[in-house]
Amino acid sequence: MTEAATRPPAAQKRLDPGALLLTALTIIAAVMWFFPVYWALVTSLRSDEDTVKNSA
Amino acid sequence: MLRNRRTEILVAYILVAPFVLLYAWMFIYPTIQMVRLSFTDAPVIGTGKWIGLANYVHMFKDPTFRKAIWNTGYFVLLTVVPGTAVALAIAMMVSRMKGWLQSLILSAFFLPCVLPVTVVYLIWDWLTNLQFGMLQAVIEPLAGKAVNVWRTIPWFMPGVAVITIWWTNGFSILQFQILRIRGQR
Repeated sequence: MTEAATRPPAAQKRLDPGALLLTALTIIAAVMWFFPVYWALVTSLRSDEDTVKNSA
Repeated sequence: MLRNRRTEILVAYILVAPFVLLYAWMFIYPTIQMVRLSFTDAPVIGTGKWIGLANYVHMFKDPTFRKAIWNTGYFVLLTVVPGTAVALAIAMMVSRMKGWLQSLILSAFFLPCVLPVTVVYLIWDWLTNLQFGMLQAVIEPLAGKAVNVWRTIPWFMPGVAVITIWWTNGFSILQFQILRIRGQR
């Protein structure tokens, strides 16, 4: 029998707020890390004028 | 499956040989030649006479050399220590994840490593541009005004350090991940 099957249903559903916060922080950090590459890809498809006028 | 230990070792040598030969030819041989040349008065092209340590005496008296040593030390301090700490923190956070989410997050951190230096320079030059750079929104509150990062001496080296960490950290994170996997075996 697996560990998940022996655990009571309430324990299976309980979420650890610390773990959730760490996961959220990791995802935010990854998005920030990837952003310059994403920005470069998007900007490469725009004209210079458009990039200068609407830099965001 | 290899039949015995000797065959395994032979195959390993054959697989490693192309790299070792290329590395010896393209890196080790020129390095030895460069050191040998440093003891001569050779011009850029051609050979020269043996002059002993005269080039080194000249180099240590040159203030530009001392400045270069200082700048290199400062750059190492700004990149190696924070870079290792950031990579370790990210690797620990990523190691808690599993499955496709872990792969996606690792890819996001590793992706800058595949970019050539010219592309990295162009991206960050645009992002920090004095007039329309997006990062000026972060720099301006910190400095109290818009800063031309690449033309302001106190900002330049930390700026290069941040980019270097961003660019190369994927490899460090992967190394920490490999160490963790090896540690579990």
